[in-house]
Amino acid sequence: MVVAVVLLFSGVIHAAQPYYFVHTIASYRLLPPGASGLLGLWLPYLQIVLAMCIGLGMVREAAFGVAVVLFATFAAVQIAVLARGMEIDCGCFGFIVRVVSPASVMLPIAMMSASVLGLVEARRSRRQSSA
Amino acid sequence: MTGIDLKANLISRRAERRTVALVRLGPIIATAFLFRAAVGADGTGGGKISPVVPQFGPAEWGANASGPLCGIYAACTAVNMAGLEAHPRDFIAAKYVGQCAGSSPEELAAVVEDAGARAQILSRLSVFDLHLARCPVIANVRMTAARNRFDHWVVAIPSEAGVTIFDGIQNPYHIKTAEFLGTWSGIGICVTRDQQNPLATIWLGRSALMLAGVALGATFFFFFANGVSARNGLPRLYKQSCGLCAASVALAVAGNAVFGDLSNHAKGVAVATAPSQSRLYREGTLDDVRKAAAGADMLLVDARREQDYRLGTISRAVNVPVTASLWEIDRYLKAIGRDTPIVVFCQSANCDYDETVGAELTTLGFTDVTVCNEGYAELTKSQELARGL
Repeated sequence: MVVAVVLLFSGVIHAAQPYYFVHTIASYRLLPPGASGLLGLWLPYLQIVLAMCIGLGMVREAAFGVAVVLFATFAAVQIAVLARGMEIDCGCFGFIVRVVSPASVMLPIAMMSASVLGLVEARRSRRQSSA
Repeated sequence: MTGIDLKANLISRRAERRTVALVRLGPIIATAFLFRAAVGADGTGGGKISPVVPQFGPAEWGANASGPLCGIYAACTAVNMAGLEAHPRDFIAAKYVGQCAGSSPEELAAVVEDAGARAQILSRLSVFDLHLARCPVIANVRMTAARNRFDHWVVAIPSEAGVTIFDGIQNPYHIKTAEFLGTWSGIGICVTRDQQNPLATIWLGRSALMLAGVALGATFFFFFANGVSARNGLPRLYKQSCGLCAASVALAVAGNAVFGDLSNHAKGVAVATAPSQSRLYREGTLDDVRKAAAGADMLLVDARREQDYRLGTISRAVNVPVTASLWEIDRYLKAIGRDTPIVVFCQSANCDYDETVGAELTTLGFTDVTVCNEGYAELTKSQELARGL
């Protein structure tokens, strides 16, 4: 449920101000402007759909699987920023200015761990129900 | 015949002779001019007539009240729009402008309230909220697209064509919603005259939209994700994941129709990504500046502040000061083709105004921008040295 709340909160905030999110993605300097533009407009809605699926208990296995990939990507790009010595806003929750730091990397890592547990649990419950 | 008559006669004869000479020499001058245009000014040939950059006069920069007083101007504009009277000169005090960088949202709220209106500081606003608020909103934006900091205040009024911006003392202008969103931090101060509460309207609209979003999301979900099924193993998980992604794409199209500006998406992206794409220009040397100063097919841009430009500049250079907003530059250079070679310089090698202006120009779509790694000081010095030798 915590994963669903985090995804929903982050998704809604970013969806309300799409070009601010595009600005944040571009500041990581990992993608060309066109890709940042598309990702900025789509990613918040993926987070919202994932939050809905996890929260409402529908296709949880797939939702947790996608969430694991998503949080792993968030953690990887923040580690890449730290490795390059850049000081940029994390953009994790929209307009709350928080510079990318080892502490900010912990959030996606914690969420990824929770999603892995959710995925294992969803898979176990599916097997039990099918058995 | 008097002396005066003689003098008049002489003048009229001279004018007559000059006219005859011009009539005789006219075709020769015209032929020479055409020949020069055809072979190039340097005589190297090529037979191609270069496109000439149109000459235009100096603009009135700085009317956007850049600097620490932009917030005061924006607050007074919003108060005046709300039907009360306020003048910026009455609020130029440390209480309202607490830092060199300008006013904080709280200080601007104090300006509005001391002028007799009501201010509400809101953050994480969307363009949908601006439409709902139905009151002037003082918005925190980036002064220029190339800057990373949200360091400027304007009054933003949403309209059908986009957003109308009231920036300092200059005339209001319209920009596309995507362009505005690309520079806006989402922080706004709603200014109302009476006890009207825009927050209630905003939350009512948000709740309605959220319900519609959940309904739409559930429909997409059942259509895409839950509808796809396989018996077991990887195919099922894979298909459901693809279904989730498809549902999110469909929801994104619907959501961005409300919160974004899909028809002007490219402009929004260009403005939003400008601070990270500041290297789209080339780096040049003083030779590029000399070339631009000599050639009519290039535009030479002086990025220094207006007062420095007035004190002296390189011949043929036009002034686009570092303080100019993206929209001011766009209006000023409207007549210039986007593929025109542009060379930008500022005071010296230590000055970075030219980099800011260069980034602004590339954001506006100019494709051939060169930023000089030296400046006016170095050029003047080299000319003095040359004269000395």
